[in-house]
Amino acid sequence: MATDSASLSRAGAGRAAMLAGRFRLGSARAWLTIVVLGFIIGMPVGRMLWQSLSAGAHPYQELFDLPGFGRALWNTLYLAVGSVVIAVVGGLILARAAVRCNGRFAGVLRIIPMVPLALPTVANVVGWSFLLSPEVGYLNQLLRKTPLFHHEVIGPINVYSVTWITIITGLSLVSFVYLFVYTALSKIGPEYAEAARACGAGPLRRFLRVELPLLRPALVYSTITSLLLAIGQVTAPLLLGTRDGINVLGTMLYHISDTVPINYGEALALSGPFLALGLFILFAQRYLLRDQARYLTAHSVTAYAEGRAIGSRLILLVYGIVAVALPVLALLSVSLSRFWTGEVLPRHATLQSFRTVLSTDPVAGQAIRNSLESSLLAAAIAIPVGLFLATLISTTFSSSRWLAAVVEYSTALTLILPGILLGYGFLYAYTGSPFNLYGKFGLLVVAYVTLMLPHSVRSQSAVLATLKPEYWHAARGCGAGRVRAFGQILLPLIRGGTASGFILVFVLLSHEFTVSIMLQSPNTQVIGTVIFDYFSRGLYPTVAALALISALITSFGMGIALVLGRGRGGLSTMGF
Amino acid sequence: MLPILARSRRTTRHSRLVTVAGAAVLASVLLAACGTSSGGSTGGAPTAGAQGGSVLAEPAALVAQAKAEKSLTVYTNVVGLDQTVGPLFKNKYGISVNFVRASVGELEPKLDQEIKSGTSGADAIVLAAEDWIKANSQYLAPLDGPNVTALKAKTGALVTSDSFADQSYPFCILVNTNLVKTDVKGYANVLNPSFRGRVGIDDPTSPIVKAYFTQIAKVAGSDYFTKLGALKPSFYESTAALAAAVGSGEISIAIGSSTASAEDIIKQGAPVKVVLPSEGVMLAPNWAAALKKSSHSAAGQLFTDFLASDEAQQAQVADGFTVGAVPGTGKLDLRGTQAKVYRVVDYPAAETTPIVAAAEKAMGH
Repeated sequence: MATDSASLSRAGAGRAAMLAGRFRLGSARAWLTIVVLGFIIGMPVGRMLWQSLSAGAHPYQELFDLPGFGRALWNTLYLAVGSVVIAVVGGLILARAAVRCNGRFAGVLRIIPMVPLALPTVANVVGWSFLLSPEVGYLNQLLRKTPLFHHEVIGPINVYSVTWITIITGLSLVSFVYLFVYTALSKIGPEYAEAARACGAGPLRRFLRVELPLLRPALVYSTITSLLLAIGQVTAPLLLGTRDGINVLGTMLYHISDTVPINYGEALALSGPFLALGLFILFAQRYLLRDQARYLTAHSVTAYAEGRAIGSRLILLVYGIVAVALPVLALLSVSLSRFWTGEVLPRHATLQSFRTVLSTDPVAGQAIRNSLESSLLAAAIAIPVGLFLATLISTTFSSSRWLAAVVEYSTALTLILPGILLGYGFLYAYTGSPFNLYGKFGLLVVAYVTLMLPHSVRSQSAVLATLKPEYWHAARGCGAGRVRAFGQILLPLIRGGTASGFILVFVLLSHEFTVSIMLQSPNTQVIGTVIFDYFSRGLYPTVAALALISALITSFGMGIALVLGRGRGGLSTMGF
Repeated sequence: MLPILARSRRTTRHSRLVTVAGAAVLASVLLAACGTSSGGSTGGAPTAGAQGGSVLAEPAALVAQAKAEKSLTVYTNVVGLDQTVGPLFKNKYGISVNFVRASVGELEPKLDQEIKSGTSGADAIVLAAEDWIKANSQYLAPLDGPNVTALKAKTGALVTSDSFADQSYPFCILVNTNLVKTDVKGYANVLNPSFRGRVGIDDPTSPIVKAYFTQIAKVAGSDYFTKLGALKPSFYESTAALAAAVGSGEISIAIGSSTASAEDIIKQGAPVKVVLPSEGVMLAPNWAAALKKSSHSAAGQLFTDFLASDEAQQAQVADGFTVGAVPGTGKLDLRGTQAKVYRVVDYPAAETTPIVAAAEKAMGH
C-alpha cells in the first residue's frame, strides 16, 4: 500500500510537473490565447469601459436625470423577472412532459419546444402583434365572438402592454430552459422517482424532494442564462412598446444610438446597471453551483412508463399550437395579403410579398445574403477558436488553472453584457481609427464571433468532457505530437458534436437582432434588422414573407443539427 | 498510470509552427472580411418617363466627364426615385444610378463616416436632411448647372449654392373610410370624442416631426395636444407605420402621416383617404445635393442638375402624392391649405423642444 501510494504520488507529481512545465507564461499557446481574447473581447469591452471611466462620474450623475429612466428601470426588472418565471416554469413542465413521452411520434413531440428557435425573434414578436393587436388582432377578433367578450369593442388582450411584452419574451425563452432541463432530466432517469414512490412519496413530494434538487444545476444555469437574456431584451419592447411609450433600459440605449452624434457617455452610464446586475448574477451562479459533485447521478437508460404519456403529449401539442403554430399562421395570413387587414383569409390573396422578398426588393435579398454569409463565416471562425479555448479549460489537455480562469471569465463577460451594450462596444472600438469598419461586412463578422464565443467554448467544453482522457494519453504515449494526436485521434471522435455546434451557432446568428441593429448600415442589413425596419415602416406583408422565408432557412439548419447531433457529443451534451 | 514520455524538440517546433500558422490564418480571414462590403441597390427597370418635359443642356465637359465615370451612387430616403428618375437619367446619358435607400437616421452617420474616413460612397444625396446639408456644405459641390439655375429663378429661396428642395411631401391626416363616417377636414375634426383610443400620431423623435408638432400648436391652438391627449392617442415609429395602421383598421384616424407613406397602401386598395388639414399644411422637402470629393463627382453633379429639370420634376410628381420643387406642379391640390415648406431655420430647437415636451406630457407619452 505504501509502495503503491508512493509510486502513485511520484507519478502524479511527475505528470503535474510535466504538464505545468508546458504552460509557462512564455508558451506560445498562452500568448496566442491572450492575443485572441484581447482582440476579440478586450477591444470592444475594454475600450468601452475605458471611455466610460475617462468620462468621469458626470454621465452617471446625469443618469438619474434622464427622462423616463426610473420607469424604464422598473419595466426592465418587471420584464426580466416575469419572463424568467414564465420561461423556467414552462421549460420545466415541457421537459418533464418530453421525458415521459415514449412510443410513436415521441421524437417529433420532443422537438416541438425547440421549434421556436427556428423562428427569428423579431418575426415571432411580429406574429404575436398580428394575433393580439387590440383592434384587429386575429385572436382578439375570435375572442370577441365568444359570449364572454362579445360586448367588447377592442381587446380583450392588448399586446402593446408591459404584461404581454413580458409574456411574449417569456415564451421566447422557454426553449432555452427546455434544452437545459430536458438534457438533465433524461440523464437522471426515473429510478430515483420510482424509488421515492415505492417509499410512499406522492407526486408533489417526489418532484420537490427528488427531481428538483437533482435538477438544480440545470435550473440554475438556465435561469441565469434566461435572466441575462431578459435583462438585455430589446426586441419585444422595441416592436411592441413604442405605441404606448413603454421603454426598458435596452430601448433607451437603442434610442441613444439613433441620435447623431452618438452620446457614448450617456450610453455607457446606462451600462452601469447592466454590468452590476450581470456581475451579481455571475457570482450568484458560481456560488449556487459550487459543489457539482452533489448532483452526479448514474446515467439512466430506463424509459418512463408509457401509461403517463397521454397528458405529456397533450402538453407538448398545446405548447406547439400556442407558441409555434399560431404566430406562424398569423404571419402566413398577412404574407398573402396586399396589406394587413385583420382578415384571417385575405379576400385577394397574393404571392406578391414573396416575390418582393425573393426577387424585386434588393434590400431584402441583400439582407438574406448578408445573414447567411456573416453567420457562416462567423461560425467558421468561432467554432475552431472556441475549440482551442475549450482545450484550455479541459483538464485533459491543460493543467494551467490561471489560463482556464482567464478563458472562462473573459468569455463570460460577453455573456453577461446585454447585446445592445456589446453593440456600443463594437461601434466604439471598430468604427474609428485604425479599423474604420463602419458599414463594412467585417464589422458584423467580428461582432458575431465575439457574441458566439462563449457558446462555442461552452458547447465544445461539453463535447470534450465526453471524451475519455485515455485516448489522448494513449496517442501521446505512442509518440504523437499534440497536433497529430488532436487531429487524427480526437477530432474524428468529436466532429459530430462540433458540427452540431457549428450549425447551432449559425442558426442563432442568422436570427441575431440586438447587436445587428446597433451595427446596421444600408450595406450591412441582416434579416432581423430588415424585418424591424419594414415593421417600423408598416410594410407588414413583406415583413411576414421575410419572416417565413428566414424561418425555413433556419429550420433547415436545425434539422441538419439534429441529424448530426444524434451521436456522441450531440445536442444532449452541447449545453445549449 | 501511463508512462509520461519526454516531449521531443521536433514536436515542440512543430506545435509552435502550427500555432503561428493558425494565428496567421485567423488574421487573414478577419482582414479579408473587413475589406468586404456589400453594394447598394440598382435602378429598376426603365419605365415610361413623363412626356414633354425638357432638360436644359449641361456643359459638355461635365457630361463627358460624367459619362466616363459610367455610374453613380445616390443615397436617399425617398421611395420610388429608382423607378422614376433613375431610368430617365440612364436613358438620357447612359449612366447607371445605384440607389441606396434607407432612413435619414441611417444615412447621416454613414455619410459622416465616409467623409471622415475618405472612403467612397455617395456621389449625390436626396434626403430630408436640410440641417445635415447646412452643417456639411463644405463637402458639397456647388450647383450651378442650367437646370438648377432655371429652377432658382422660379422658386427663389428653396435653392442654395449647393442644394435645392427637390420634392416635398405634405404631412396629412389619414382616415379609414370604413370606420370613419363623419366628415374630416382638419385637426379640429380629429378631436371628436368617438375617436377615443382610435387615433394615431407620429412619434416625435426626429427634428422634422418635432417641427410638425410645433406647427400644429401654432395653427390648431396651443392647447390642441391637451385636447388630443383626452383621446388617448397611440404613437407610431414612422409615417408609413401610421398609414399601415389606418389601412388595417388598427386605428381609425392618424395625424402626422404623409402622402408618400399612404401612396402604397392606397394603391393596394386599402380604405384610406388623405385629408390635407384646412388649418395649414406643412410640406417636408427632400433636399438634393452632390458630394464634392466622391469617386463619381461629375456624375453626381450631373444627376443633381438633372433632378431639377422639367422632365425629372414631372416624373416625380406624376403619381399625385408629391409636390415638386416648383410650387403648383403636380396633381396634388394644395389650394386653400396655406401650405408651407418646412425649413430648419423656422423651427429652432429652443422653440420646438418645450412644445414637444409639453405635447408628449399632455398625451401621456
